[in-house]
Amino acid sequence: MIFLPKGVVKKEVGDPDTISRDYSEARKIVEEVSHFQFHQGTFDNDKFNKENCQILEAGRTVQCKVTGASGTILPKFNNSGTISDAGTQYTIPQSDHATNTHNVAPDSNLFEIPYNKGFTEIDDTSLSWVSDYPELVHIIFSFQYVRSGNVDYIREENALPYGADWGDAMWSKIRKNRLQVAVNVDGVNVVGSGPNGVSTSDSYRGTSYTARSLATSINTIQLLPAGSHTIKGMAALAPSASIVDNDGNVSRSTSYNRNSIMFNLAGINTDPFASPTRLSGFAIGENCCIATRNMLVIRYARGKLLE
Amino acid sequence: MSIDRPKSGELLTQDSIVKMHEEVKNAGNNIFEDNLGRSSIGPQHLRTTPELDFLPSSNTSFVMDFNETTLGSTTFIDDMISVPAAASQYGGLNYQNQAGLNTEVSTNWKSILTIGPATTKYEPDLEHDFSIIISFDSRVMNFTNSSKVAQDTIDQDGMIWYAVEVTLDKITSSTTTSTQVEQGSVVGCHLIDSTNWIKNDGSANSYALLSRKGGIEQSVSNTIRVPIQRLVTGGIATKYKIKLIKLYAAYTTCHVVSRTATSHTKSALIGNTTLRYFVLKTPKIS
Repeated sequence: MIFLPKGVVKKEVGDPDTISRDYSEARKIVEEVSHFQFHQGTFDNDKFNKENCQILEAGRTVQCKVTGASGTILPKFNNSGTISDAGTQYTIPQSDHATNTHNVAPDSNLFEIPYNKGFTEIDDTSLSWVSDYPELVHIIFSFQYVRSGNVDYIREENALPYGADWGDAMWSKIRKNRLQVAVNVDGVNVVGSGPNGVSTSDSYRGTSYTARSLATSINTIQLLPAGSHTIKGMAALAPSASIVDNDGNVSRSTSYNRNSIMFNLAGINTDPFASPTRLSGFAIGENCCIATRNMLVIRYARGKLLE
Repeated sequence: MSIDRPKSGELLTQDSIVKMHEEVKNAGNNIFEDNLGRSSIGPQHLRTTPELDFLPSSNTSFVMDFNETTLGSTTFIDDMISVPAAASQYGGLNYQNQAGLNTEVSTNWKSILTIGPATTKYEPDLEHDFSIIISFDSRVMNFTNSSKVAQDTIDQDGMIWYAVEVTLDKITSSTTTSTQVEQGSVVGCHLIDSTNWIKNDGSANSYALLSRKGGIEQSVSNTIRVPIQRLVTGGIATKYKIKLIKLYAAYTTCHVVSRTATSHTKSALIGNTTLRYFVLKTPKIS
């Protein structure tokens, strides 16, 4: 669309119809303008509204029930991710720890991360809004991750009813709970917004977080166009795997089914009709929870009157 | 919308020309509200590179206040989270209500950083709220004994917990002060490693203590928001002022055997701790 004002030429009689045409065409162009009429990098920052900002917040506070003599009190989940021991009371030692205990229930707002089901939305972290202008959006996602200790998990080899400790010779072989976290903006996980990654080799190393707890804030700044937006906190328990050396002495990893280490399958080899025994201890992925979480979105409007 | 123009044969005046000019100008200046399709201006049109020669004008119209403080040295956290004295009592982070958390933190935990008092007063009006954004970062360095010697963690499996306490002055004809530990600020981490580590090949009697460099080196950070909304007391709109923002930390063994009723033997060394806040003026969220 091109605007060509004709004006009044020399010695022409000024006629309202002719003159007003210039203005009518100008207005028509203004009303039909779209983003195609703007060059890249057209607008300087100081042309835009910096008067104020908007803050959105979602979150949930969770009591981890910690005392001076107890760690976090976590619920026990079954294989489908629901609490299997609802109402169970767990022990917090009293000050005379040797004889008396204080039984408490886990906080009902703990969010268990599904094992090997990909990224799922963390409850109470979703925020949606509709913006009239393009916005610079500062997203801050704070969360507490906590799980049971390694010694409480069933170890892989020999189905022994204990896991391994830090520095354990078996450490490289036990199945690890591998946390992945991301901030999701309009359906896409923002690259770099949390401990996650895609393996570029046979090893899973460097793609997740395996320590027992984590309390951190993820910050990301996005420039979003006008329109409707949704932001969520996402978490995943990546498939657990052990790294083994094959005959060629090349490291590779294999992923495991959660059920495969909940039962002692050794007897099945000799008696296919034998009932497998449920091992004591946690299977992989059990008791891995997001506790207190907080999603903050600070929106700075970037569009204002063009002057 | 068409231009309101003079009819053919009518006398052209300055006013009729100015009127048409104004109508075009008004349409152009309302371009983003009424005439410009949604998403018409996208990120590709905005300059995101620093404009060193043409700095944006001051943004003090909505960033009302900011402060930051950093721990100048390392600190040993040997203050213990409390334990319940009886089965009927609450204790530590198993608290009954806000008052219980306030008492737990202010009484038993170690205050490691303090900011305040601020001088700026915030007065939410009918159109604006305020939000205090508070964040902290800290590094858990070593797991130690009471002599501050690095220890292994295999039996004691400790945790460090943090909490932020906010004290606000509410000013009308007089000043009242409220203090509260923000529940969302309470986060912690296990002492997942140490300067020593134990080798365990699976049998109960084969522990071997080995030297290890690097310590725990676990980082903790958290960000919370404290909203401030309009409050009218006795016909006077309340002004708010930050009196103190304090960062606390405390330790727990997580393991009953290593904890006696009146004393404990473990602690942790933390460093690189920073506490900061900034206050934003925002449109009122209905």
